[in-house]
Amino acid sequence: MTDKLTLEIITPEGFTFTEEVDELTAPGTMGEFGVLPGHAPFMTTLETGAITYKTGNTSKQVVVKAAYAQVIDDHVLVLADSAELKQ
Amino acid sequence: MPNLRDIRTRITSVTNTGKITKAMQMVSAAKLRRAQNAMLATRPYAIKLFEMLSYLASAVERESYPLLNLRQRRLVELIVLTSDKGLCGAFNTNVLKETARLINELKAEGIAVSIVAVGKKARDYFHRVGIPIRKTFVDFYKHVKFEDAQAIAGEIIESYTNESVDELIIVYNEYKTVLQQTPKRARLLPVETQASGYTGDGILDKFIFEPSEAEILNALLPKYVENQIFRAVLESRVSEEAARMVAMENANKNTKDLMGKLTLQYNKARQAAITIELMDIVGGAEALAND
Repeated sequence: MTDKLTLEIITPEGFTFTEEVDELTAPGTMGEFGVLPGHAPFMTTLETGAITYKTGNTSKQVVVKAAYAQVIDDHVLVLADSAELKQ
Repeated sequence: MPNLRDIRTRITSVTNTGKITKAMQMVSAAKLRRAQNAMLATRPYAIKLFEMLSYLASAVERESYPLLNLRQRRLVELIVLTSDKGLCGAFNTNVLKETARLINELKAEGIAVSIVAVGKKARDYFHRVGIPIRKTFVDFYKHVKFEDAQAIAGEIIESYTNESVDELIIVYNEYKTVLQQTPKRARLLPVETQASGYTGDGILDKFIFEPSEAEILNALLPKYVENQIFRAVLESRVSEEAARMVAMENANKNTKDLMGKLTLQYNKARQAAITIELMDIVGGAEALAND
C-alpha cells in the first residue's frame, strides 16, 4: 500500500472519482508539479487543465476547472468546480 | 336547491381539479427525490472544503482577511430564497415572514438592510410591500447548477469586500422531513470557521503551501461562500418540492371529500325529482280513476 497514491477528485455537483495510482502530475498555479508516494504534506491551487496520472504503464487524464489540491499521507485530494474524465 | 345539471357540472369540475392535484403530487414526489439526490451529492465536497478551510484559517492571522473579519454592522444584506412557483402551501410565506421579522430586528438596532431576492415569490413580495431589492435572481430552479450559485456569490462577495455591506445573512427553508420545513437564517459572511482543533497536532508546520497560505485562503474563502449558497439553494429546492407534495396531497384529499358531498347531494336531488314525478303520475292516475 505504501508505494501507491490515492487520487480523489470531488466537485460540488457530486462528481467523485477515486483511484489508486502510481504517480501523477497536476497543473499548479506556480507551475506543473508531480506527486510520487511519500510526498510531503502539500497544499496548492491548480490552474484549469489536465491532471495526468499513471497506473502501471497506462496513463490517463482528468480535466479540472478552478481546483485546489492537497496532499497528505499519500492521499491526493482535489476539489474542483467541475471535472471530467478524458477518454 | 341547486338543480341536477348544476351539481353535475360541479362534480365534473371537482373531478378535473382532483386529477390535476394528483398529477402534481406525483410530479413533486419525483422531483423531490431528484432534488434530494442533488443535495446529498454536494456533501462530500462541502465537508472536504470546510476541512481544508479550517486548516488554513487556523494558520493565518484572521484580522488580515476581510471575509473572516467581524466588523461593525451598518448595512446587513439578506439573501432570501423562495420558489418561482406557488401551490406549495406555506413554504414561501414562512420564509418571507421570517425575513420580515429579521428586518424588524435589524431596524430596531439601527442597522440598514439590503435585499437580494432569489425566486419570483420573493421578488413579488418585496415589490408589493415596497422594500427595494438590490438584486434579483429568478428562473434557474429547474436545474440548479453550481454556476448559478457562483453568480449569486460573486455579486455578494464583491459588495462585501468593498465594504458596502458588513454582514451577509441567508434566509431559506431548512429541510427537516417531508412534513416539516422550517425557515432558517444563517450567517454567510464573515465566514465562521472552526479555528481550533487543528493547531495542536503540528501538521500545519509540515505543510508546504504554494503559492502561500494567504493566497490559497483568499481563493478558498469565496469558494466556501459559493458552496454554502449552492447548498442552501438546493436545500430550499428540496423543501419546496416536499411542501408542494404535501399541499397537493391535502388538496387531493379535499377534492375527494367534496366529491363525496356533491355526489350525495346529487343523488338526493335526483331522488327528489323522481319522487315528485311519481307523485305526479299517481295523482294523475287517481284523478282519471275517480272519473
